[in-house]
Amino acid sequence: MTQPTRATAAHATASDARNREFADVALPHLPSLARVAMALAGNEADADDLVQETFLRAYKHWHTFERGSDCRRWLSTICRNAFLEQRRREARSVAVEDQELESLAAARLHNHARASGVDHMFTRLDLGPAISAAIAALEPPFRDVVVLADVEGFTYEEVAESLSIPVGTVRSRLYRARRHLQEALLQYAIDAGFSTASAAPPAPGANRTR
Amino acid sequence: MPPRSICESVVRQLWPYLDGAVDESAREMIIAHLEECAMCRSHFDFAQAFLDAVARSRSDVQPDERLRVRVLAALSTEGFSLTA
Repeated sequence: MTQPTRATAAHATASDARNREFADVALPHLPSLARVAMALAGNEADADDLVQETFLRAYKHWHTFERGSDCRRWLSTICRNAFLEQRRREARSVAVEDQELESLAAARLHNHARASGVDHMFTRLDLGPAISAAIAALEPPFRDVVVLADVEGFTYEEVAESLSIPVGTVRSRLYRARRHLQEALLQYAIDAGFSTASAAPPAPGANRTR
Repeated sequence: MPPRSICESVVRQLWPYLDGAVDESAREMIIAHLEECAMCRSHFDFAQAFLDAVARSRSDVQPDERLRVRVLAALSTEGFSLTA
């Protein structure tokens, strides 16, 4: 076994000092941080995760703590930032899930159209006036997005820039607007009697008798 | 959570795919699946037909005559004239 070098010994001492200082200055605020985290997260499991994340970050960035300043306040700021980041991450994943559900809804609507005998509605019928009316009936935030993207052909990014909203919001509104339009047009096609299924099937040999 | 079927994974990307907003690897995966799955392909075709119909509806939106008059009036103050 070799003796520890002077450098590693010095490193160990510095590390020990850091640990001692962290234990003396930061850790005593744990109960207070637990209360802050509970108030932010609203449940014990998430609050505990948040406290853990706060102290991990605090330890990692301990060198940035201004000695002599209010450590409880410093930790609370870390805690709040960690909470906000986590909430933003969750909001993003919820938004993606919502957008994917809208795509699934489009497939369900197609099944509905097929079952109603109008799955040819967009290729064989002149729905122009019905589409214009359905677009006009949308709530303005949805109407604006669908007009710019689907009627005028703007990209997501161009719509986002034009309306000063995030691209994710453009997607959410656009996909939902499309669902509303498809639902309205499907109902229109059924009500207008365009269904091929609703017509009585011709009697066998009917074509040959005339 | 049960594993998603390939059909569900593909259909979840329906709108972004039709808008050209999926990355290259997702696009290739979707194209390959649509080539062999008639059911998914029919969903995508239906949605694309819807988008085409909406894009065509632009010609049904006639510009408001009042707006046209107003624009022309404003332009005329800048020296514009239709009877050039």
